[in-house]
Amino acid sequence: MAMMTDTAPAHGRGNHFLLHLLVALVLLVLGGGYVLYEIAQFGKVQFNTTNYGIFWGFAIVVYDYFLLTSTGLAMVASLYHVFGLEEFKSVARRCLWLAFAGIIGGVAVLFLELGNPLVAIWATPLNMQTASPLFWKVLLVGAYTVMLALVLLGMINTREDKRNPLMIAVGALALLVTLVAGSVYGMMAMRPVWFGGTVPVVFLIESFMGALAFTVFFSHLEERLQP
Amino acid sequence: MTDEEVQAKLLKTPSGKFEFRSGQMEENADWIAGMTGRDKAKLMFPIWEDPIQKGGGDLHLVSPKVALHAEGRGSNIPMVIAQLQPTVGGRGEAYLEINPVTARERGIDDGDRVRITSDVGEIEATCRHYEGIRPDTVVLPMEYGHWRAGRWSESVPTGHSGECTVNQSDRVTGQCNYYTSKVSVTKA
Amino acid sequence: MPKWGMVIDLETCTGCQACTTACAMENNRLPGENWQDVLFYSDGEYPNMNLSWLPRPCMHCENPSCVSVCPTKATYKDEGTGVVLVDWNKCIGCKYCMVACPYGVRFYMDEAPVVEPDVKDTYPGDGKRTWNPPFKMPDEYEDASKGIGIQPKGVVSKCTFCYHKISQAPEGVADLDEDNPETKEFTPACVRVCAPKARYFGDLDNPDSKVNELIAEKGGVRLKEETGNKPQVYYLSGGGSPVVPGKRSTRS
Repeated sequence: MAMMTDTAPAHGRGNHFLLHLLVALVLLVLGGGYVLYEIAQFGKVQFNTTNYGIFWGFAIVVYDYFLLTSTGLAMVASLYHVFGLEEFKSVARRCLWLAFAGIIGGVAVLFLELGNPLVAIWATPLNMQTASPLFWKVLLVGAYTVMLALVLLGMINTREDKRNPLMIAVGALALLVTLVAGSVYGMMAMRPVWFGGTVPVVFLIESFMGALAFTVFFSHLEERLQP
Repeated sequence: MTDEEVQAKLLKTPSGKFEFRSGQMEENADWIAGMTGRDKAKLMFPIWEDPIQKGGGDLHLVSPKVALHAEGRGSNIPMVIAQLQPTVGGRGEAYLEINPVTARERGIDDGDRVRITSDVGEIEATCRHYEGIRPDTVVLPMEYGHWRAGRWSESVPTGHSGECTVNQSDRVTGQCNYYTSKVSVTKA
Repeated sequence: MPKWGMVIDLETCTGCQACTTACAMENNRLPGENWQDVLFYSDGEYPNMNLSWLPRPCMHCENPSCVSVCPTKATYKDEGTGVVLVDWNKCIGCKYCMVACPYGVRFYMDEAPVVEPDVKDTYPGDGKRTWNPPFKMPDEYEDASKGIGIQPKGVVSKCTFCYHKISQAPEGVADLDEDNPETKEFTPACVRVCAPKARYFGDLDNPDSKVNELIAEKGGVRLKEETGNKPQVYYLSGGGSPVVPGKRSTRS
């Protein structure tokens, strides 16, 4: 576990970092450009939701997947930063950057899907609808993103991975965001498929699964990209 | 009233009363039998004659009006066609209603495009399985399929039922009789 | 303060859709975006087939789940009339209220059109209006803070119980009856056009109102009581006969 990256085969390495970065950027421009073109040309109809039962479509799935993966990654990083498990030290920094990428990507997708995302920014905190799980989710995701950004800012100019006490807040917020994201579905008594106290727990498990998959995948990728 | 006044107000039948046995028909029986070939002994009574079902298929096509059909132009009014045939979910489109047993015999699934054929024409429509239809009958509301009805009507991929119904009149009374025909339905 | 409510007599309703079309014209709805709809259900096999139908406006619940889930309080319960409204200035289009509504009576503007070609392209809107229908209500009726009129992009809309009419009703009146010349103009469109008079509209807080009498005399029921939403729309189904479509029925 300690040297997770050792499993990557040693042969066939070369410095393709720039090439890979370029390919990734081209894919981003192509994919993102296609999405933006479709939305500009045809509107949100392209999300293929309906007024007759399918209110939330694939965009919300993608958003929640990346949000949960992000919080899961932050929790994996907290295993080292908060609980001091040295096994996770080598991936802690990577996890935090991936967590930030995940939350930005997820929220970007959500903003594409929302009808009036800019109104959401001011109207949600100002109206204090405390009965709505979505109100708490917005507040917590905001706090989580800010705290995560602070931690990452502090890490930019240092190669040392010292345990960061701010990570207590990040980890706790990540846990809360995950459970509240589950409650958004689990509290819907009128939707029997979603309803239940187990849904937040399922979301928690899902977030760890996503986080571990991301960690393994990107560690292998990073290992192959090294010269 | 005098007898003359009573006579003047009687029904204009030979007996002056309501007749099940038509005196007028009886008086002209020879002429009618000669013209139509009907049985001279029976034609003064109300008689049953087998209907002649034209069209050549095995299913009856019925082409009713729907509740929201006020006039032909309705097929181009978006507000009307958005809830035209609600019993089978016809929102924005008219469906051929077909009994599920009949449909399965022909390999037609719910929502398939079907071809409706009779001796006089052929149209296409989307079908819906519907338990409220007799197995020997299919129903296609007459609404769409006009060739110049307007943009909303023309974008509906349903043919006009009139293309398949044989133009015939009732052979006793001469009344309009072209709302049904025998058709065959196959998967398009 | 009235608490407006509706009674729908399912024994009298013929499923003619006059309410649906009247609502669409009164409130400038997109074709097929039926705030007031009639749902048809079929049950059984030929020849033992049962066709039933259920007119369904917004229930304007006493304890509306859409209001409690709205993260911005854009959906709210109006104090003066007891109806549930949407403030289009605050709605963010997250559609959580549509998920939370047990009755499916909330609608998002930016969906695929029911009728092609899209009327939004045929009659393009100006300013905040998403489209400009030829049969629009008078401008002075429009009120974005109550969800009345032509909505802007990216918001959720819903039945307002014809708020622009009922809010003008004389104070203390028990029923808004279309047959009474005094209250005719203040009656919601769907009630006013109902040809077999299957709909009644009145004050649920007024003990003398016709709606309260009908609910008591004929046993009015509310839909989906198990959700605790407590609708203000009551159905009369003829003394317990299963006129309200059962769970086995298929919706068409």
